[in-house]
Amino acid sequence: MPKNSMWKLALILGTIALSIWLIYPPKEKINLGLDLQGGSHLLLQVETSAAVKGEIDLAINRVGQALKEKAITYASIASPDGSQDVVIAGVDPSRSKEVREILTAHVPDWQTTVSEGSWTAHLPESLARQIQATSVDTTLTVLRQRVDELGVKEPIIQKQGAAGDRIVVELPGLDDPERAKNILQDQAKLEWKAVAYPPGVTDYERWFPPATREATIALFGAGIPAGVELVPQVDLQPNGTRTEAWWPLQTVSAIVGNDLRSARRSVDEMQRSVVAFTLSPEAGRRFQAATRENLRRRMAIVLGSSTKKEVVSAPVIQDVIGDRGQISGRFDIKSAEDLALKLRSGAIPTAVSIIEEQTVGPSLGRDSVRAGVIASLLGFAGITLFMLVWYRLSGLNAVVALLMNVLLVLGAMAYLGATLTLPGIAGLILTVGMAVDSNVLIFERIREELRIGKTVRSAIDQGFSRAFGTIIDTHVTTIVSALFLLGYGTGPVRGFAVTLIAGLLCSVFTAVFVSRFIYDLVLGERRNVESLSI
Amino acid sequence: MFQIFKDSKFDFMRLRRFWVGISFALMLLSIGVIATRGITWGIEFEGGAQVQLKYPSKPDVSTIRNELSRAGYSAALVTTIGKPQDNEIYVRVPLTPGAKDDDVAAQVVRALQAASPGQALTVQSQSYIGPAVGRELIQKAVWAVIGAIGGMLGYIWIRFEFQWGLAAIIALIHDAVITLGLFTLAGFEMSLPVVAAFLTLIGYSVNDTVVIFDRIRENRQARGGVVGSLPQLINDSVNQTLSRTILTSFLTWLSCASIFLFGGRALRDFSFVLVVGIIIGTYSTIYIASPILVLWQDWVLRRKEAAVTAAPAATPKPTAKKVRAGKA
Repeated sequence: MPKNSMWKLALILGTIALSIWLIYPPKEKINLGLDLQGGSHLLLQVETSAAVKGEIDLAINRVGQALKEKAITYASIASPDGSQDVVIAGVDPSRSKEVREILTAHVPDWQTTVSEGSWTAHLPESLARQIQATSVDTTLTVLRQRVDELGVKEPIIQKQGAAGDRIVVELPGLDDPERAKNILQDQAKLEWKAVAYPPGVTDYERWFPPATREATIALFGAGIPAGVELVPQVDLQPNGTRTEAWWPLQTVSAIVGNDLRSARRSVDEMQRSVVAFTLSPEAGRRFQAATRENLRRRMAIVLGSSTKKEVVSAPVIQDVIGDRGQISGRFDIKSAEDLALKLRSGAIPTAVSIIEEQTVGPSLGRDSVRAGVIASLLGFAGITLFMLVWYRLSGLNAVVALLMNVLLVLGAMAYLGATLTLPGIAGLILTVGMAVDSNVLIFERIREELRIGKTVRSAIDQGFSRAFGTIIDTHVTTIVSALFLLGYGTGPVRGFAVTLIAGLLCSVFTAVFVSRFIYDLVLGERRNVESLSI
Repeated sequence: MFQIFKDSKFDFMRLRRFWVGISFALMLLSIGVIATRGITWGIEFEGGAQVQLKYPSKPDVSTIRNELSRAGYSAALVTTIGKPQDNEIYVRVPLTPGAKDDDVAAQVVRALQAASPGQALTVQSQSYIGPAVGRELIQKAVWAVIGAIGGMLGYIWIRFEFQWGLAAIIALIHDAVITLGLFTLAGFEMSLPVVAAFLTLIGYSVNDTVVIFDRIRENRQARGGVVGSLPQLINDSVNQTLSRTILTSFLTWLSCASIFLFGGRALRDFSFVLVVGIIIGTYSTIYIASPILVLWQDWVLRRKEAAVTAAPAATPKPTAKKVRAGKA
């Protein structure tokens, strides 16, 4: 072997060794896309505008509670529809100083105005924008925590889109995608609210609200008073009948979900599943006050989102509750566990909707892998056979180069952490078809040179050098279109583009450098090579 | 030694008008097919939901249709897919105009599961695309195609000449349009991977053409810059690269055909584009891209001569005719 061939051999063997080291073991090193291993791809739209409404609701609660704690009387606290205001009407004018203190403490950056005992706190536009921006980040954090608790391996959860209000969630290898979606999408806003009994009710413990909204409104005679809202409790019987009860509740909640320190599934004395929770110390103090005030009355546990609320249960408060309590409803083990999980990870600050979903079941993924592998092997076998018949030993040279090309592409993908998708498999086999083009270009050129009477050595020299320019041109044009594919594509299509680009780049090395080296190696230092098997 | 053509000397340029005419007619036909039958857009672009469900026993499509209709999806399309013993159905539900974003695919699955209690249905795949997403994807696809074409035109312009780039682009549009016509005729659905296949085809088509352009340039330089007869030059170049063109196309085609036949349902429409496109692309490389260079030169020459003869003469029309007759 010529001396200057040593470094070439070292380079080639080194590249092969590196690729094998990168790929092995393939089960761990090559990421399979969701379309191959099964799983869910979700695109979530965070309704940032609803986050502002959520913040206003929270402000009503905080300020309302604070007023109550200081025993400052007021007629109502509410946010007029479509405004960014919280209006507290009918406040005792003698306690203005304290009201101002409360507002400064709880809604510090809001603009406060007062006229004739009516206070208005306005949420400024700059703050609203800030709330919208942070709502996406908070949602992201909550989603991460929930996915973690679901025990999904290697999930992807990240922001996407120009507006930054979309979140991509990729969950590989799920058994029950439906459950995961429910858990991710549920805002899980928890509130405890005292029941606002209609006038004339005396038996607080046994009173139960009517089945329609209108009927409940009618109980109040002159319409719903300010500071009271109606929330339905929906009951589904096993036989499919659906009953509703419309509870009149205080708008101001005693505690909200953010006050929870922990939540877990537990069982009550009847061995039914319940969700047990612990409150933060400060919230515990508030809850104690609220339960004392509502002893032997009902308090409703409300769960829901910015757009839809539902009463889970409305137990009668039998005792003053401190920082621990439990939520009982019609839970089975799974739904109790799911609720506990959602409460633990905290509430999503705003409504989240799924605007794109792609789920592939594990068995379909397996079928796709099998079909893809079979198609690739057969395609490769066809090309190998043809090259051997057509170019004989030179064909063998090309096949070695092609095999190395496939190895390098897989190595590059493992190194880049790229994902192998179903179109990616197609890209891989297509790459082989395109990479063989370089060999064909070179071999046809060598044949031409031989035909016009050149010696084997100079024909090989000319063949490689003349074809090189063309190889560069063809590769650049194809890579240009593949780059646009990369920029355009999502998921599977990107996988295709990555394989194609990697394959084309590697093929310059394998078809030109490696093939040339093999010729040099085989022909060795023989002076006069009589014939070439091509 | 196996050879397809031993020192081939086909005169590809002689019938250039004929082939360009045929291609033009085929393109018009394809546009007609696309216009009348319309492209079936996948849910990625149109929005909507699709579900592939496996039943434990043979499902009845008309019952399923009724169940979906009762659940409020009267526009749902239900078909069986795969082998009969797979017991699989495919449901596609279009978007309801003006509806809020909501995961329709999950609801369809829930409705069908509720309609056949006691039977455990397996979701093979389900997808839902909201209205906003689809619009964005169409825009992105259009930009990707325009960008890819522009990029390749730019590269050929730098490496060769502008009108060569134009010829390559005309050939690739030719390939894409005719393939799209056949794709539509075969009743396939335009999905994201299919757009990827078309982009690949575009790259491949230009790739194929560039090999001949390279040879033309090389031969022109070898002949010392003396162009001589352009049709002759191009003809020689096409003939010299003919074996390579056919061989490469055949080998790439072989790998695509393998995906088409054995790669499973999910890759069938994708590989169809390449299987058909490569054949058309190979034809256009030989019969369209190169002849256009000649036709271009014919046209430029004719204009020059017409201009030269038109200036002194008062009656340019008959002179122009004579020039054309003389050239033919």
